[in-house]
Amino acid sequence: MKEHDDNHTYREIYDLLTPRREIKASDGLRRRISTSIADHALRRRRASGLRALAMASVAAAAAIAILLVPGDMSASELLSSALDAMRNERSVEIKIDVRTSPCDNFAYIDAKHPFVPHTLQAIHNDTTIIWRADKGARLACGDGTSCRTWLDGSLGWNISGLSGQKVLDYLAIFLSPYNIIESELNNALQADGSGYEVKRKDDEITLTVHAKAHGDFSNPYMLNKSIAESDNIRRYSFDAKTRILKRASVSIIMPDGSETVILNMRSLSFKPLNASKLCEVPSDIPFIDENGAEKTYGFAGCQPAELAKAVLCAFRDWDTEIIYKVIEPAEAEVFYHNKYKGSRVVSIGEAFSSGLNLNIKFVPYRIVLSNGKIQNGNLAIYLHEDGGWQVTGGL
Amino acid sequence: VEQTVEENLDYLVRFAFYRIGRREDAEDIVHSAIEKLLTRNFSTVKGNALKMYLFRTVNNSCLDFLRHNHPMESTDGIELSDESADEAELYDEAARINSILQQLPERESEIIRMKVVSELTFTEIAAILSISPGTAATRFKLGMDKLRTIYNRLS
Repeated sequence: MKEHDDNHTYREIYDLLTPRREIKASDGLRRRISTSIADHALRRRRASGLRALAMASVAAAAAIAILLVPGDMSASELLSSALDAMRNERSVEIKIDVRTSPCDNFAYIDAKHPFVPHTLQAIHNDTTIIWRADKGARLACGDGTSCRTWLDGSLGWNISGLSGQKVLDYLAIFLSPYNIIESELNNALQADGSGYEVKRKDDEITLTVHAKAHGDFSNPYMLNKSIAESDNIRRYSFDAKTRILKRASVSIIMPDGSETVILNMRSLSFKPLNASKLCEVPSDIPFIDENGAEKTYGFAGCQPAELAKAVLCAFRDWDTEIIYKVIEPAEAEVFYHNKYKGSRVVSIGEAFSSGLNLNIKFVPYRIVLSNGKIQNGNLAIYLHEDGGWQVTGGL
Repeated sequence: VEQTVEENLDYLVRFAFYRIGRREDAEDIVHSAIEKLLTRNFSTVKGNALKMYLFRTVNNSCLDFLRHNHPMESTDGIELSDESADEAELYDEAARINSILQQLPERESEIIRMKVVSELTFTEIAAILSISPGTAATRFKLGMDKLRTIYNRLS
């Protein structure tokens, strides 16, 4: 009843705030903008003509190269020129090593884990990117119209949204060198508090970005669990002549102040790739469709600790009336049924938030599994906009 | 750049207009933002970065405008020509929405305005305001809860 009332009231507020009159750009504004664009295009053509003349003596000018790095070159200027150098590359394969678990999601990092090899491949069309990411036990791909991720031999998900951002998180920028540069340039433009340093040594230009962890870490549980949620240093090396990216790495700053390399780019190659190969998905595992209408999860209005207790207690008799309301049924059966059926709750702690997503609450728990083993953890539960809860991790 | 401008022009005008309530000023602000983008030669950047740059610039210009200009007032009781009447209806609609949102702190109302009026996602709002998507979502919920309380009290 409360959920219904809440939705009803929010609906009323949405209706109150939704404009009843549509406004579009006037013809006058469109004309002014067309004129501005034409003026600037003309000026740019004149400038590039002069530049082409100046560069005529440079052999192998496959990319736009600037002969000398000005002493006062800013990060934005460097990145802009690097973008110029790489924007025409259509297919790319990047191999990176990341400290993570092979089956965990692509965003997850852990300094205590060994490096896991990742291969990221992409074909860039004019408007879409066809891509594939492989970290061993977890894979993902996108064809410009849909996006999928799956655990090898287990279960997969059809994901809403066309880009890899939702699945790959930070790693999405590695789908192509263009995205790496674009992402850093975007950060530079936003002046997001990161520090930038550009240096030239011999035939290399290095860009170093010092970034602070994003999120609320009054409880530090999520600190250093993803690159965005860590104090990190991102280093890029470019060929001084061609401005092509040669190396990239990300280090995080540990609580004791030491630096740990968490990501390292092993190789980058521009080679033809087969689009249909990139989009191949296994036919022998089920895929959960997340593309449909917004799902409704249960227990709206419930406190996080109450919810955690209800779900963990439901594991004992595998009460699907409760479990399926907060966990996708296929996920519950494939990932949790065998391990957690028959388990018993020992204690539930106080819920807390940590990191970037304050809609995720973590509830500490201790349970005894059916084999007698004690398991401690923090159940991650996500609060949807409609008030419903979804278990998203911690098991 | 041209494509990004074309795709987002109406949204930018709508964004600015419902912020300041005056078409001419809103269009001037949008035009200036696009001029700035062209002058700074970000033509090699594409996609979402450009779009976010434009929205961020327009948002900042709207804030500057509001600091130096009077808040919107209703056109009730003012005689208008037919053409002006259309514009006045738009003006009154913006004033109506802003009068509701003025009951909230700026940090909450600006996010609700972006989400509900301009139909931006939390990720986009976060990029415009240089905050995390989680913070945007939290402020949105706080503001909506307050409006819900006010609404319930009134009804």
